[in-house]
Amino acid sequence: MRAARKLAAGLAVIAAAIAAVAYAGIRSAAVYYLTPTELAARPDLRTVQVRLAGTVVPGSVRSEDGRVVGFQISDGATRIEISYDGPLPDLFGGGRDVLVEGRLAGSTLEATRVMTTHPTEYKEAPRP
Amino acid sequence: MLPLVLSAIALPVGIFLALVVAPVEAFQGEPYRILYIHVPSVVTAYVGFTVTFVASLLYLWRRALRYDRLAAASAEVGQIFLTVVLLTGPIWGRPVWGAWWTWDARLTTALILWFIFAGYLMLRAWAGPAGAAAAAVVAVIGFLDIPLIHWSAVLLRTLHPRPAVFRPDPAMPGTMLAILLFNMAAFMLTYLALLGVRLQQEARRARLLAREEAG
Repeated sequence: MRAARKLAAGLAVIAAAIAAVAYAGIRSAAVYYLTPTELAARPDLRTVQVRLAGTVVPGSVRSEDGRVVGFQISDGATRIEISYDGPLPDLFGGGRDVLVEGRLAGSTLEATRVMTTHPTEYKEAPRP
Repeated sequence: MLPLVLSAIALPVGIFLALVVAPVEAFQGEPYRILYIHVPSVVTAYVGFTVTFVASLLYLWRRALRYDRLAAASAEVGQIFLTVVLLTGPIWGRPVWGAWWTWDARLTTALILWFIFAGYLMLRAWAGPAGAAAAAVVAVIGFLDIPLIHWSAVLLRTLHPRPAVFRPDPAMPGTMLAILLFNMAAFMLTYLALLGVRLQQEARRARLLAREEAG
């Protein structure tokens, strides 16, 4: 009897964990990111946390005292200004594809996290 | 015994190939080398859970205990490899993405698979032989998550890249692909070796229990 109750409790904990993870995951994974053009067409998302994908516009990266404080990303059609002063991945730079998480303040996205994406293709690096 | 010996040789050779022989990747640099552990692990985990799926169906159909033992042993080994996947992924993601984890569809469905089979193994451990049929049902349903994982990166927007190898035109130079395939073979041998050990142990235990009951 005790074993059966332990089993039921264990299964309930696992079921709850799966449900919580599935809920958190699906809520944010259903539309994992938007493009700047899609965000511009969605005024309802102007006050909530969003995740944007785009290419860092070459030459748009602004620095203060050697620290990056902002840059622009573009999907080819729409540009958006990003302000950010947190840690950046090693692969960050002009022309690189990034994902930016944050909230709009006016026309600028105040980012809380910046991630870099990379191409699916693998290529051999030229030998030095 | 043979798979044990072969895998004990092939695993270190594969690690050497991955760390020393494989060329540097043009975009990601050195961190990409974890590919040679991450991808073989996930393939091996899929194979392990597929064996569990088929054996569970056979058990539900025929009710022969050897199918149940095969399902359980394969799930145990598969879960080890899935754990390796979920540990190496963040280690790779930190330098390349700048994030240990993100809730995209690929990562989320993979984590759900881990939870399902953690539940499966706990059910087996606590319910014992009485829970064999229930465990088989969990395994059959849990297995359905694998196509979701595979297609999530193809059909949905994710941070995780699309499959680079399992497609008609592998997006990888020949040297990298050859080393990756070598490591897949080495990991599969390790799976077979561990599966063999667990099956032997469980068959022996079943014989001992049967003798105890008879005597």
